[in-house]
Amino acid sequence: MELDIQRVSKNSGSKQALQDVSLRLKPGVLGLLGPNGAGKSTLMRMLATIEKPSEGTIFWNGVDITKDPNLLRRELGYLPQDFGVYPNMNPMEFLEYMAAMKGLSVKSAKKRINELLEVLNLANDRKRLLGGFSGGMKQRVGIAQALLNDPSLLIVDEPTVGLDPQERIRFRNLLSTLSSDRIVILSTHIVTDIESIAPNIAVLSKGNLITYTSPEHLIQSVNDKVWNCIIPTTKLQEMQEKYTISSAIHRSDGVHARVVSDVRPIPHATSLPSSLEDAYLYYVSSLGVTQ
Amino acid sequence: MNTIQSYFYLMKNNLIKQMRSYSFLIVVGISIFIGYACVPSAAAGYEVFYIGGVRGIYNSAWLGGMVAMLSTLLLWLFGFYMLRSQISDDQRFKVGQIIAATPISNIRYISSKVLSNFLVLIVIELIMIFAFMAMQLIRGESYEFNLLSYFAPFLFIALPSLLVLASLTVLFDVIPGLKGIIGNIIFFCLWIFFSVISIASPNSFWDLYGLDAIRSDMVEEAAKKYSFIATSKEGGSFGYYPIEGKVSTFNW
Repeated sequence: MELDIQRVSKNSGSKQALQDVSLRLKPGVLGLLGPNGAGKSTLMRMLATIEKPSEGTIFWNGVDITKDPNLLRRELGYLPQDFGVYPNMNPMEFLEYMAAMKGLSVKSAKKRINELLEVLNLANDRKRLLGGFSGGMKQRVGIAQALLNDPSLLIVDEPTVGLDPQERIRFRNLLSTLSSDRIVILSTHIVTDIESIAPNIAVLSKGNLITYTSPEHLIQSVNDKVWNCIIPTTKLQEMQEKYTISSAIHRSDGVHARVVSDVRPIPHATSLPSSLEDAYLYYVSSLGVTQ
Repeated sequence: MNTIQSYFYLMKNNLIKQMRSYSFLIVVGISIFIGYACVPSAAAGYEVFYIGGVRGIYNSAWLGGMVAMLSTLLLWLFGFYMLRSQISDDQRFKVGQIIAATPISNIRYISSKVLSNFLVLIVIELIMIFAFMAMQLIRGESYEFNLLSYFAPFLFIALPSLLVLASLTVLFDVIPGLKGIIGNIIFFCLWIFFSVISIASPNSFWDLYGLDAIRSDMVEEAAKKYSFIATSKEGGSFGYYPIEGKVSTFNW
């Protein structure tokens, strides 16, 4: 099982949404990190065969999906960032409808729908119309439709938006369980969502692939670049203008600012152990995104 | 899921989705009202289908013919506007991207929408037929019930016409220039054109609703009993026609 993205670019009008991105994926979770507008959704839409790359090719198990998308579509589960449901259907009907779209057999579809409703905690609401569902419940229905065909490639774009903390944890655990025998691509700008479940992380910024590595390497790469600076509140704005600050906690002795920088920001700044969030901020801000 | 099962579930769930919408309830309400208003009592002082001031006795044959003619004529208008955006709705409800990532072919997706719309129109047509059946009992001019008289015009006149309509609802939703308000105006003009042709030009190739097969037979039968109809050039036509006194009837 292999997804091979080779030098993929996407132009949208005069803007280049994605530039020369190459990735080779094997079973497991790939966390796709990047700020809004980085090109994550564009890449995901291309992997989901909804859009074609302007340049480059994408191979699924050796087959070019830009030429033969149906081969991948049969093994694909896709949850777009901004998706909807039919408000006049209940979850059972909606999933039945999507199963028919995916060409699943009636027997396996019914079994799978019941399993997914149980796993995603929707079994008690199976007869309620989707129009009355909360954002988190709709998101769970979206996840269920993506998992209907037990996909070999699961693409989920910002899946935890609208979920409460408990649901987010449950969803992360579900993805973690699913990733053992399939490729899962999880896009988000919330670092904590992928920290615990993604053995590989790709950081995108302004359409470029900044780095593709493991979380450990990513954290290590900024080991000596995270600083704790205690500054007066009045200096915070000035500090924010000069450096990338990943957090600022107000205490009695001043503001404890966590600064990500190649150089010691102030003379009495102390070094801190780095986190994935620091590393993410370091890479996206070094391209001028957050600074 | 084989092809038949796939179509079955696509159509079933499209039908459910449509039947739970307000627009469907409104069209059903209009259909029932039409059933009531188009079968006026003898003392109501008006007629809807005019044949020189006479009409058929309200038996199964007459009402079956009436419902087939009226439904094709009116469902073409209400049904079209109710169902004309089923594919656009997939985009509007933001389900389009999910569907685009499934292996369903364009032909199966579009044909399932046509067949689903056809099914919705059949359901409305059946509701109208039941409304006319109820009116036969309410008006009480004939208690002899003949189901074939209701369903033969439905099968041979209404169904083919509704299949054309179902195809048009999807056609107007997939051709870019026909989407939105321009398509609505074009279809309304087409409806007026075909309605006028069907009513004013008997035996015309353009009688898309197939009204003439029923109407000409009704007029012929009326002419056998009322000789002045045979010499009249008016034929039969739909509209609101005030009648003074008791309306004359014949058996069709």
